[in-house]
Amino acid sequence: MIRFKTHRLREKTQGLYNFSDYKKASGKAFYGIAITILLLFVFIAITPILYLFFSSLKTLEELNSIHYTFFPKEWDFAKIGVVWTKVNFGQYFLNTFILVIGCVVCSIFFNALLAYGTAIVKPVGYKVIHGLVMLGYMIPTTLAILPLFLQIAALKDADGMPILMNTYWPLWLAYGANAYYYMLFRNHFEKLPVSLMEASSIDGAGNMETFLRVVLPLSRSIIGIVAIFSMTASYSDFLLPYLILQDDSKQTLMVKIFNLSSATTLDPSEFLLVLSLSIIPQIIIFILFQKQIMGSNANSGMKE
Amino acid sequence: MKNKTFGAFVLPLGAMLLSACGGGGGDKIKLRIGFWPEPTETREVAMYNLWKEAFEAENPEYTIIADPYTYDTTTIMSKFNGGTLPTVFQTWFTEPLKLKNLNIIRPITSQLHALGWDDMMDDGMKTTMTFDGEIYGVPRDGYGLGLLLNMKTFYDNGLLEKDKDGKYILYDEQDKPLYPTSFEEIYEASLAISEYDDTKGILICSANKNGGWQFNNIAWNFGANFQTQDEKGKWVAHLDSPESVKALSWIQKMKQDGLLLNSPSVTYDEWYSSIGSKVAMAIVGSDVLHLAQTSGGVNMDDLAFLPMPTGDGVHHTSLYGGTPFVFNKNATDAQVEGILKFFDYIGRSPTTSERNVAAIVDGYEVSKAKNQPVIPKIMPWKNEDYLSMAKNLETQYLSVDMDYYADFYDHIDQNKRSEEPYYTQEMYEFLDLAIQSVLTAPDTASPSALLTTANAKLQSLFDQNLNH
Amino acid sequence: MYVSPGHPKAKKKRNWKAILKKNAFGWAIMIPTLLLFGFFVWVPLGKNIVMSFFSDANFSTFVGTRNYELLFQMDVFLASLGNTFKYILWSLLIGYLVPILLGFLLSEVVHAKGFFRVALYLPCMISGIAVVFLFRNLYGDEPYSILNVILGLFGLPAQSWAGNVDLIIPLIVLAMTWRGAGSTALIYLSSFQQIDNAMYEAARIDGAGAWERFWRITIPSIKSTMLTLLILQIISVFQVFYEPMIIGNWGGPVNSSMSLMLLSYKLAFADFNYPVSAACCVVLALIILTFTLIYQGVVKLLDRVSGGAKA
Repeated sequence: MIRFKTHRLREKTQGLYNFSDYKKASGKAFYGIAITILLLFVFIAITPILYLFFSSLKTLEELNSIHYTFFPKEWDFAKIGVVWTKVNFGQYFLNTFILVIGCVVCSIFFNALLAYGTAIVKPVGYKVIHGLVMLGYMIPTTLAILPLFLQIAALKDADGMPILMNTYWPLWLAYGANAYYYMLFRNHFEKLPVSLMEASSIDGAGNMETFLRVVLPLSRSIIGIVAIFSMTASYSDFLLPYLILQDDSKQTLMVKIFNLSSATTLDPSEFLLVLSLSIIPQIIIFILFQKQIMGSNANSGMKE
Repeated sequence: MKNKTFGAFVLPLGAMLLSACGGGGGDKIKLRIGFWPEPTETREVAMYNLWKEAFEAENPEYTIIADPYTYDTTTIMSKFNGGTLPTVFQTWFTEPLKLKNLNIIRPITSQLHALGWDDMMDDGMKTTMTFDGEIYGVPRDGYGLGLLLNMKTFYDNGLLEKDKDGKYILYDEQDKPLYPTSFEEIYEASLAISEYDDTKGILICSANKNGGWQFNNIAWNFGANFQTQDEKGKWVAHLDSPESVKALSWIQKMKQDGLLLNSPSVTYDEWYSSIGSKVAMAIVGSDVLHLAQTSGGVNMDDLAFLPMPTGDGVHHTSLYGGTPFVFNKNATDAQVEGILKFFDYIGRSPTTSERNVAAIVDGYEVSKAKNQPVIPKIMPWKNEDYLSMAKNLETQYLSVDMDYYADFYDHIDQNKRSEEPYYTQEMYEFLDLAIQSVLTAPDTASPSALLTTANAKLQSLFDQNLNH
Repeated sequence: MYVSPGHPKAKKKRNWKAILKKNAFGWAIMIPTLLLFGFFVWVPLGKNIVMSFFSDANFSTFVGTRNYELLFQMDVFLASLGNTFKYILWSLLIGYLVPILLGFLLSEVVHAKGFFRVALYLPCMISGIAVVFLFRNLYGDEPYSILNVILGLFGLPAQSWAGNVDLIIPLIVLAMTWRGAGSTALIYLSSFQQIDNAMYEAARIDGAGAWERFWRITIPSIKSTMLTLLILQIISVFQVFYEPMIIGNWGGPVNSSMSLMLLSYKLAFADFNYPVSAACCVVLALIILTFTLIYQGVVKLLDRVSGGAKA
């Protein structure tokens, strides 16, 4: 049995219950219940993911069997290779990677510039711009997906061939117009000490130099946060990529998964394996950046 | 400084747009073939690539571009508007009218006429693609709906017997069928089948418009007609006729007694994974029967394919449809001509040319190599020379025991009936809702009320768009 | 509101050249992004509104409010409007309290803190599309679908979970909560942690028990977070889309899970009914805007009420 380090309770000074409460039986009971509830929710959170992983390694016969076991009776690891080549997974991972990189770059580059403009440079009319951006923030952009799609499709070259269809450009650039990332940058820039920028401009540095030499180095953390947000968001992105990337060789993982769901090429157990493989990169990203992801999440839901 | 910084931001944008414009190439006429096999079907792709090489070698003015596209009502609009719709693609026989009205496909009458193919098309198929005297497609093949029956399940439940050679006995000495030929008999057989285990009687579709599609056929066999024209030329919907209500009530009774699958939204593509052990029967089109083996793992010789059952003791009608090839609105005459030429290289033309015959043989050989069962086809062309050639090849390659399949094919010519003409897919969607309502509340749903609602919706479509 | 304290308003003497330079620079760096906002957000939103009063996507004929009339006559629209309120109700029942509870427990627990946070947050990392396919599988109607396996343990027959008109919305909300609760819980966690410990101490000295402290201090302290997240949740529920499309197979059975978002998509991309789809989007946007405005009003009101107490 695991030894419970009770001294931590004795040292607890913060919160609704502190060390004095834990001396009482009721306090101990509360703590026991709290831990139990949390464990229960952890169980609920984790089980479907494990179910997915284990089910996807079962053979089709076992998956269809009425005699259910959580763990596969035979671990069908060979299936991973079979499905990988059958679906040509590498291609879709690569496509997704290309999409993600461009989205991250655009998210940072464009939104940071706009935020720098309205938060620090403040040219004439910046308030109107800020208001317009925030108005767009309140209405989900998915609502305008039809006009947006028709607009993208309507851009044609001299031969009448669409320019932007089946390219990553519209998907990348769409991340450059993200009111949420803009707001994250703006909130950050506003907190920067004005004196620094004034000092820099007295030194004779131009606006651009101030931005590059003073502001950017102070913004590493917010750039990191926007990078992580846009990375996870673009990895999972579905609707616009689905409409734009119609050519199979250009499709991202999520689009491919959706298309595979209605095709007859994979059996149900193979489809589950595709799902499993698709979430592994996200779990790796989470393991690598869990502090930043969870830290920035805590502030993210709160809008101004 | 000002200009530089501005340029620094605007230039990449411009460059992005410019680089995206790139491409183009040669003066060859491009033919984007939408019915190209999916990359996972390696054998078919190899075969198509050989056909492509042969075609391009003999017709250097063309290049073939493989562009696999499975027709889907939810993607056609984005494909067309996005400019990525192939030059030619497959669809269903219910679609050409809608696609023509949406200005997505073009007529090919003169090109067909130049080849004489317009007179060789199967009459029924031709009608469904002809509007205002213009033909909008080339038929690939047809299907008729029939009753697919798992004889093994029937045998295991004591509903069929085997002879001394281990063959299932489908007919008695007087040649009378021992399998269900009416919906009432299906009900009785289903009762027996689902008595002892989880196997249900029959798969009834109810979602993705598949429900309405099959219900249409069931209702016909109860004596219903869904769309008629009155003496003034006005189109009238009859989804709520007494015969139609009887058909839906039959589904209701099946559901009440637990003879259908649990889910109230069953789609057509579930049949092949269900016919093995989940259901004993399903209503299936003759063009996809091989999936029972290739995707469902059921031995074709444990299955029988039979005429549709009757509800009124008279009709054994088979809903008859199929797959036409249709042409992108933006396809030029030269492109259409090229594609029609290409059809000869892939065994889709009505000719008995060496090339066409060789391509049909290629197709059969691939099926054979893949161990895919070969089942009789409903032929798209009616000219005698083609028919005798195609039938002859088919018999050579047939891989199923025709004793279990002949009944359907012997009667399809007298039983077949094309789908209802107007707003067919919409009608199927309205019917889906009625069926789903019955399946979700079998004890309380009122078939006649549900069908009245569906009928009102269809009638209002007629009145808004057809009856002026 | 955003004017920083040291703003050099006094130094008006600055020469015009510098001001011009500043403005030119400011606009130069803003214009590329503004072009993107125009192309991806403002113009499409504007076109949507205009299209809802026209006969087609090319704005051929002005038809007044006809598209809206057609929309309100569609029983599927009325059904989805009704469903939306079912979604909200169920998401408040299932989805609203869970993150508060989790956030609270996370703030109180001192053992394995990191483990609990990571484990609870993990589902948030999985993309929406993968989650809906996973849950479609969990809610399947096969005897081996996980819910039916559980029923089977008690000797009960298999059910068609996602096929049940009364269960489909709660099941969808459950899937949404499974994915979203961890992230919301962390927001609550941070606001629980911001509660001033001195308030608890003072209450203890007054002899207040844990229950009393909870209602007197804990809950009032996170009131504004609760309100914010309530509105955010309602707004996000209005946009439910992939779940009814995939778990509910296009809003089924019998349109019982159809949402306004999915309906507008279906009208546009499957039924080719662009203008009515645009009208549906406008209605949805208006509903969302209304909730946002109500929220902002309430926040202002709360500020005024509690503002006096704080000072």
